[in-house]
Amino acid sequence: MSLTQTLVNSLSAAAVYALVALGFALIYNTVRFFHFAHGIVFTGGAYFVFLLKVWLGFPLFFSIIVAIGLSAILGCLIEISIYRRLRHKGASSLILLLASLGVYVVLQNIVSMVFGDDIKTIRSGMVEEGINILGTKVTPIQIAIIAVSLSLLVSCFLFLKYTKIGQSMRAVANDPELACASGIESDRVILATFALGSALAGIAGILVALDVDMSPTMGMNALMMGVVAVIIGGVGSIPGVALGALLLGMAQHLGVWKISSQWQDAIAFVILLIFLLFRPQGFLGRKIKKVTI
Amino acid sequence: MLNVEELETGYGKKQVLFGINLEAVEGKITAIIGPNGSGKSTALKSIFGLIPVWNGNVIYNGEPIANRGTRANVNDGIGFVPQGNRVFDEMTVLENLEIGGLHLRRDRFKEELKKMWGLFPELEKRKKQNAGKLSGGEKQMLALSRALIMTPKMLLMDEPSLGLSPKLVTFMMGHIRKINHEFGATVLIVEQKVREVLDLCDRVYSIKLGKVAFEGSPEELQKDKGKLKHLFL
Repeated sequence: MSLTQTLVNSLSAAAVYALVALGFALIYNTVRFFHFAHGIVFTGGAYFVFLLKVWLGFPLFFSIIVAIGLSAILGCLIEISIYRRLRHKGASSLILLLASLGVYVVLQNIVSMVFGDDIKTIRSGMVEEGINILGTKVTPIQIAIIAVSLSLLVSCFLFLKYTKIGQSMRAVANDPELACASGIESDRVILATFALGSALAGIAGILVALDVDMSPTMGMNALMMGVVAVIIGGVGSIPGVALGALLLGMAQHLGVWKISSQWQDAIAFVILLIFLLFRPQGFLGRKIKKVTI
Repeated sequence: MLNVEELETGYGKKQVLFGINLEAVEGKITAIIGPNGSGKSTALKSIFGLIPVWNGNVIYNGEPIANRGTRANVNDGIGFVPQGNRVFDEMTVLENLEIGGLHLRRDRFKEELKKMWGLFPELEKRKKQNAGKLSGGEKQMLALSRALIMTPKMLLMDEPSLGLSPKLVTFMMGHIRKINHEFGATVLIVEQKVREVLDLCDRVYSIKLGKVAFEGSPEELQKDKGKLKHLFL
């Protein structure tokens, strides 16, 4: 494989990591706990499309749009039925993390029960050959992944900066009590954050399913890579998330190019450890005195 | 304008206030003083809805408002300035004010913003700067402006002098008087700097161990130093 081919592949992987990471970071910044179930929302996006297109026979575009909506609803349902209740009872971040892990396991088992554990695919027919650009094969879905991810990153940046609800999300993330004192209803803002973050995770899951295939456990690995990208880039910074995802994707694929694909995850976690030890705030994040899980 | 009747509240299972009564008269400045941990800030937070009222009533312009949520209070003309120069330090000065005026129409917001720049010209110079980088005094100006931008009829202020130098305390007290006179806002202020707040207010309450220990005019306390000392021991 050529270097340019490796770079294209790493860009495509980075684009997916960036979407998962952005969704995770939005939610984490607002509720301050490790939302494990974000991984199952990612899986959910892929399986919703499978259900609608393959089982129910709806057109692909329609299935994708509905699946994105269903992913957002899934995230909101988790927030309303589990997290909000626990928060109102004064649950700590650790309790919320454990609840989140529980939600992940239960929903992953439901996916396995309904769809089976075997690998599934949305594609029908043969794998399309890539377009030749300067000697590098780029598949249409890779182009779509990169374009969708880039446009969503820019849109989210503008949304958070210039819309009232986006500013409210940042205010709640910055200081929840002060936001409340300013007349912002935290629960509504948190719900909107879950909707947005979950839609992003769902889109990432759909893109991966369109590119390769899907299995009920696909969400955990994607979540881990997303979290590594957030830490590398810096919590709370969208450009940081994009940069973190890019570095992670590049390092993994260059590693595969030079070493072997079995080291892909190890490379990601070595980078994570290096950042945690020497630059815990990441590339563009602020210095933090205390971290809640 | 605001009547608090037999208010009881606390944190978790720990009761902090044991049936306090107080009144903030329209157009006047009412102060709540008392030693650390007496429940002054808790009273203000429960009136505004940041912590739940367990028992008792909070009546604002004849309507019960206890436990109805902060958004309704803000929309009804009650502003709150929390303790400790608190601003959204990861957002710019302008964004802080936009959060304060979140429920205003765009044209109205622009009008109010001009008034805030007029009141605190230093803030306009730093409107694109992150609020976290402001000095203590500038943060307090921003915190005050953020509450004022909704043109509140009533302003609840929790220790606005906290962490400020004596010079800035005088400056801030002057502005609170200005807000009361020029903006016509009724002020209910919790303060530890007793001398300064007694010079400022029209009526004073002292809370001790979660109960109202004194109610009267500031002059009464200024004359009777023994009583004042007793309230803080």
